[in-house]
Amino acid sequence: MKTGEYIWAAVIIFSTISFAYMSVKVIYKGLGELKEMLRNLGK
Amino acid sequence: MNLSIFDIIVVVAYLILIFFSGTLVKKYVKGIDNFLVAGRSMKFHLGLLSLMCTEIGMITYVYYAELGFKSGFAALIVAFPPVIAYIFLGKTGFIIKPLLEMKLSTIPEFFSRKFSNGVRLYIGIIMAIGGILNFGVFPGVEANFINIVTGIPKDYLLVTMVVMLTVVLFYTAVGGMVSVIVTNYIQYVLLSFGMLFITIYGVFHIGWGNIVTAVTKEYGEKGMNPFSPSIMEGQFGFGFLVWQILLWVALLVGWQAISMRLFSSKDAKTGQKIYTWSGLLFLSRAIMPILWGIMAIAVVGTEIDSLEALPLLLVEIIPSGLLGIIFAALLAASMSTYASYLLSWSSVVSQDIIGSVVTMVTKKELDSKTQLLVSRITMAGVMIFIIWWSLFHEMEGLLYFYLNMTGMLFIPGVLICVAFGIYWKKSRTLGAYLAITFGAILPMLYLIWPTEVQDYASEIGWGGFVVSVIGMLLGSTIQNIFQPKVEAESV
Repeated sequence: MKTGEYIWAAVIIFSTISFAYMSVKVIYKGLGELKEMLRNLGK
Repeated sequence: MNLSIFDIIVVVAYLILIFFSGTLVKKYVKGIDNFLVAGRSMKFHLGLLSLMCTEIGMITYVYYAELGFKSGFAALIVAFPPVIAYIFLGKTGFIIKPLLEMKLSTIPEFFSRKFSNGVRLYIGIIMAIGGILNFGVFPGVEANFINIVTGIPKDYLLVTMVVMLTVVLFYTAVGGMVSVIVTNYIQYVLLSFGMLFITIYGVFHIGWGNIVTAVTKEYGEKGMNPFSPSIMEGQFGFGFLVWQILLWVALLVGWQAISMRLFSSKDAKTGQKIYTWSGLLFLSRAIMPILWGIMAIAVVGTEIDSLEALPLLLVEIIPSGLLGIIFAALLAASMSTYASYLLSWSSVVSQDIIGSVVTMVTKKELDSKTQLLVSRITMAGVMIFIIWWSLFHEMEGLLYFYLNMTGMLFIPGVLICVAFGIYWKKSRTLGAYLAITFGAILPMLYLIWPTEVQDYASEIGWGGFVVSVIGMLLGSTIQNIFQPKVEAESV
């Protein structure tokens, strides 16, 4: 039972950290891409 | 009311922001291509963000939390099949690369190019039925969720649904995919904050030890081990995993809301990259809400309606003053999914059903302006239907399985037809018809008699793909014998 608990704890920690990292990245870089997309569509 | 004045101000400010940013982009919509796939101009980070927004709705939180609430930590295994499917398709380009190079707007378009307009119309009809039945439970489940979190009485369920959907309908019908992408950006900021906050705050507030103890006490070994009692017999055992991997590969090819994002990407390379990285984000998309359901076991006990576990947990643990931001984050998740689903299912109706019939009858395609008008009217029609369906449909069994099975009505047929259509030169129109028809039979049994067949959900799931392959092989072989020349095919 303890092994299962550790495995799931590791999965939860990994997915939370990776989600936080990827979210910051897509929000930061996505803003520039959004502006560029609107500029291209407006041409 | 559970919301304070400050909470209400936050929610109203969010709604105003979304409404205006969604409608102000109308000037960029110059034709049906901009309306449906944003002129195919979406780059990697924006594509990833928009795909996540589409596929993370309040409904996603509710059905995953229900799984965690009903099965404990064992349910976390459900998060892995989408990761495998995304990384496999993204890395290899299997099926999706040829599709991207064809520059499609909707998946059924492939059917008219490879098979016939008749097959496109047929898959369009089945897709619309499955997709709209799937979408049709969203408003009811989500309105109930909103009512519990906010404390609005249940008598106002209908009003809650109508107000929320009208805001979404308005900006989606005006700005199409451009509005969806712009509002997705704001929504993602909120929803990612909300997901991280609930997860981290929840674990620290309740205590990891208390969560584990509650699960072990309620479910024992089964709550920790998805393969208990054995990998073949477990609730989430081998058959379930095979079905889920097949289902996810098929969803990533044929689920309209996902494939439209793929088709909006700048080029095939960007589309593949979006899929590869989505795998990682889709792991969190399932893990976090399932964990919230598991937390609910420790906080609210198991003697409640499983669909209400998550809203009750939020009301219990989120401090007043922060509830408004969390609620706005949940609304953001919900509205982004509504916008995308409204756009995608109505595009199937307008492009693949109405458009195909008009082309078959008049031998001419509708002009871009009429297509836009038809798309907007269809959107309103879809919205009215899902509100009506939500009011009258009663859910039996787990919401996750209902949603899977409505998708399964067309998903095996789509995957098999597309895969064979691309990679097997002998695939023929009759094979496509039989693959679609055979693939729909087993899931239909589940939707008609959910209680009687729910123990066989996994077998129905992977079985749908097997019979669909048989249909393709059988139909194509027969047609190749009796009508050997591909050129001889007609509508």
